[in-house]
Amino acid sequence: MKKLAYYPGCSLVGTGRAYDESLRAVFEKLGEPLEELDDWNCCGATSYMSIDKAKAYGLASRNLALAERENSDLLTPCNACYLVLEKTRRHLAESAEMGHRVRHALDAVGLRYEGDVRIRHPLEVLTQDVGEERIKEAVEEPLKGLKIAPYYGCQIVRPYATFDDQYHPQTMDRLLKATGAKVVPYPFKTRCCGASQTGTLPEVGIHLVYRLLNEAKARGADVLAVICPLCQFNLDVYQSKARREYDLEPIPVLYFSQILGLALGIPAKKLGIDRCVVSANPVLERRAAHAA
Amino acid sequence: MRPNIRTEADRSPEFARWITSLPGAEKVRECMHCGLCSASCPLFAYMDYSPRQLMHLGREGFRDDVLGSFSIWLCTSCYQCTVECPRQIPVTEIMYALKRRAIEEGVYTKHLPIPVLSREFQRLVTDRGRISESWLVIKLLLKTGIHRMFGMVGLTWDLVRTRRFSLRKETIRGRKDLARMLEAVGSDAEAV
Amino acid sequence: MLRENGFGSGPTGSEAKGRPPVNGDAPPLNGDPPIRIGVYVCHCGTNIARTVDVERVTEKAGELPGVTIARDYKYMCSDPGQEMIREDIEELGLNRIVVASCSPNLHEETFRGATAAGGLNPFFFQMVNIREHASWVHEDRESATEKAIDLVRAAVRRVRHHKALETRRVPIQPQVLVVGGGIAGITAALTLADAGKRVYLVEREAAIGGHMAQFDKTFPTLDCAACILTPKMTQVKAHPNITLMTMTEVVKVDGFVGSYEVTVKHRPRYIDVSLCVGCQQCIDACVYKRGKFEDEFDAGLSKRKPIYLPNAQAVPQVVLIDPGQCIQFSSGKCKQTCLEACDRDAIFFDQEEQIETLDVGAIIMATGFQTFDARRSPHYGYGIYPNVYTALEVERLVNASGPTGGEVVLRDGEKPTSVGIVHCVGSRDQKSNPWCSKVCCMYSLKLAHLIKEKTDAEVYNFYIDMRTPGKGFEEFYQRIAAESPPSTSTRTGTASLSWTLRTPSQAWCGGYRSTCSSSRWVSSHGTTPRRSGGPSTSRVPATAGSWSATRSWRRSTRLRTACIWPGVARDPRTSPRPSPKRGPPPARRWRSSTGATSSSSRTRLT
Repeated sequence: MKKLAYYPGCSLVGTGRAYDESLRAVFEKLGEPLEELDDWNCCGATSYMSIDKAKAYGLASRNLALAERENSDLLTPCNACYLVLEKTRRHLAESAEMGHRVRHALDAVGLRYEGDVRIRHPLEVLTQDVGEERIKEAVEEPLKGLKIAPYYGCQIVRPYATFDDQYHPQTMDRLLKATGAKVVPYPFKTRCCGASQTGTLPEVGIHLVYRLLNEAKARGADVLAVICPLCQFNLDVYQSKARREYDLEPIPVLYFSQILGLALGIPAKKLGIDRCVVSANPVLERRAAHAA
Repeated sequence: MRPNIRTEADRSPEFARWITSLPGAEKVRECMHCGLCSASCPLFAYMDYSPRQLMHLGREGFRDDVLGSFSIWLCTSCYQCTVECPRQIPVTEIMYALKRRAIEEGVYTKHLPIPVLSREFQRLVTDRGRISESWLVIKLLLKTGIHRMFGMVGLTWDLVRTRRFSLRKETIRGRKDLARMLEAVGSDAEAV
Repeated sequence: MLRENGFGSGPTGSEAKGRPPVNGDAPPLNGDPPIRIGVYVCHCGTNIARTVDVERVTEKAGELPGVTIARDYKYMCSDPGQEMIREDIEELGLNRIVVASCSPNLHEETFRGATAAGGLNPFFFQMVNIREHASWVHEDRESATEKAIDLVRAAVRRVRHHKALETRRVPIQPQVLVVGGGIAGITAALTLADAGKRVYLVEREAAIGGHMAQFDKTFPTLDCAACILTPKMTQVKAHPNITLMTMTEVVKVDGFVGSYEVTVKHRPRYIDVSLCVGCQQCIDACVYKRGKFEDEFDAGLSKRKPIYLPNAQAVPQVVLIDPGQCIQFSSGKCKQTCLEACDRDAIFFDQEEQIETLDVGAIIMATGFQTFDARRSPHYGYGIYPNVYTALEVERLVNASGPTGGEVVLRDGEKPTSVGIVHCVGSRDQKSNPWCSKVCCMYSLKLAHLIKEKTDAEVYNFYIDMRTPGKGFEEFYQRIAAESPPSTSTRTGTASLSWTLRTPSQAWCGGYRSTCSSSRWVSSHGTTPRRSGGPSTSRVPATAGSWSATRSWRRSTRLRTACIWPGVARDPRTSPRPSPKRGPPPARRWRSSTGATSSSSRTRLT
């Protein structure tokens, strides 16, 4: 496995820090501690692309160049960062004109990018490089009886299907099953959570959030597992709003890495479980009950 | 009331050419109106023009309808349409291009928070290299109506309670390099 | 335009003009008249002339050694064009003809005729294809013209070596091979056999009938499929001129037009066809008490044993054994109860593959289509959600002789209350098959009618364009649309329709957002040409005999590339409907000036 440079992205040092904490803890527990990419910058997300395309590619490419300098691949847990970096990587390879412009700009600050960086996602690394077998062996406290709805969000499988099926992704399902939990069928697993619309157009965003939560509940899930800080924010923090407007039972929303961490026997505190707005206590209690 | 009819005079051939010259967008000419883009769009129900209609209006050069449409600001870039399209039209990328052009030409609805968010986001990143979510939201609220702040109280309290709220201004060491770099990339020439 | 060298051909003429003799140009043999070539360059309207500078080609051709005259003309194949060649032969004493025009496939015969009309041996003619090989495949006029000149130069060099040939008639093999025992192959075989030809009908499966045998009704007449097909199958079996070979595949074709040597492979069915009478005692006696394996004929909707009859009306009425499923083959330790039950001793576990060679003069390909694998469009949920069906499965479900006796019962044991039929699955899609299946609209309408008739369910057709281009097809569409207006929620006009099934209970269709709760989805799938298991049919030559089978061949090859079926839909909802305290937010009128929005969720165009 090529060395991985961990690129957390802005959300993971902000409101999504539980994702950051739990990922670091899980990888450490599995004997592959994460090393952060030095002085990484924001990927630009969808917003920058809406303003200036060339600069957006330039912005994202700095991270690629930094990773190449360290001779590493990028490990990118956030869906938006993953897509932006992957899109940039592809575009620089395909568009000679943009590739030239960006390389020229990188040159101005003494950076180089030859195109030798892969963008990787923790789900991919955990299922392919680490492998479910190793994870199964490392599970200390199996989550028997816990029913999980896996929610992948959009940009991890669209528009590029890089490491998983575009319509019915399975990597998270497999990881969650490795913990001993039950994964419920969740047809909305790649449907949009509303992204920033929850803030900018609440009536639209909240309705999308409601539908995802309601479907998870209807499918009998105890907890919703997510892989994107924005999805987590929408489904967790805006859940109270959705509940005010619609008939909905609360459901905790955890990062897959937090669930994995619990199964690996990492203390809840270290996984940032208490950072959930919707209490994840029912999940913890279930684990405790099982341990007893 | 003005009848909802468009005429030849409303068409801008330049706009039609521009749309179909976007990378991959020449396929818009092959659109067969199956409507899968609209049907699969999670935000379709809130749109004034459906993605299918936008593609069609764009291809015919109805510039004002397209750029003035609310729909382009609703797009969350979930890429469902792009993946579904049987003609492989890059609908999401065209939406991006439409947003950029609308901002460039200043034709979007001014009080709409979405373009403002994009603009503030871009400024923050350009200045500091990273986003500080709290500051981004504060700036957004200042621009789009301070009264909205009241609706945010509960949410902010939730974040504070769970230790997710921070007023720290994130930044990077290579700020100056980044600024020079973005300068060197040059501004957007839509020709790419 | 006329370019005349004013000299004969050969070295002398060239030298007289100051040109050195061209290397390799053999002078005429002693006693032969000098070579005098006429070159004719065709414009083909603008087909050639638009891209190739025809006049320059003519000019260059006129300068070639041996060329007596070079002309261009708008349509060389027309009467005046042919007349021009004939007159030149007579008046200028031409003895070789070169025509630069289209494909020899199209007009070689025509110009050989014109050459012969001028009194020459028709084989003193050479054709140059500057349309398919130059003008149609290039855009740059300059290079296309250069290429055309090169092609003409080569032909002029070649034609001087032509020898006078005589045509000769040779007997052909009067037997015909028909590949494929579906309705097309059956009809072809019967027509030929009635005309007195010996026919070999080769079918890969264990029984003939093909897809049609699986259908209940045919469109657009809603005729009974079995009533059309089964008598024909019986005739095939009984016809003295037809040799029926089931479980047989073509593996090799040798020979030439009119006399092919075809190698076929008979797969073992482990039953002697001449002994078995189809009493089915063996099936009853099988150690499997109940069916265990998916019945292919019922599209997997019913189960059968390892020894089985392909279907109730099968021709031939002979059972077969699937060696992949039979215990005797896997372990060798079966009690062989079937063997005991067979009082005609027709079962032979040691049967082996047999190779046979057939001599035929013509081959008809009627290999048919295979349906699109709906799993390749996973967003419709076929293979994931139990109540998503392919059209072929629904054909069995509504069929009186199907697994449910024609009663529409779903996999979950319920009767459907609403059914969505998704058209164009695996059709018109760059990600699967870019072509239109041509049949999916029609059979979808047919299925809509049959489902409606048998269940009274709400039936929704989700289509892009309603394509009904055959005789009586449009009338059929109108009939289906009229007989139950609310059930076919299609809308003509802006060809829009669609379906989304991220929300399993909803579909956007026909300009409406329609909510079909607890829907069952049928998908109309596309079809692709039937693929061969072995290396066989793809290598069958595309010329099939000297008699009129060519037409059938062409038709069947077209069919092979044009077939597609439709077939699947998305996720049926099993979880309860949402129960909001307040309904979902209505589509807001963001901009009243457009007039395109409405708060009603039933009036949105997709």
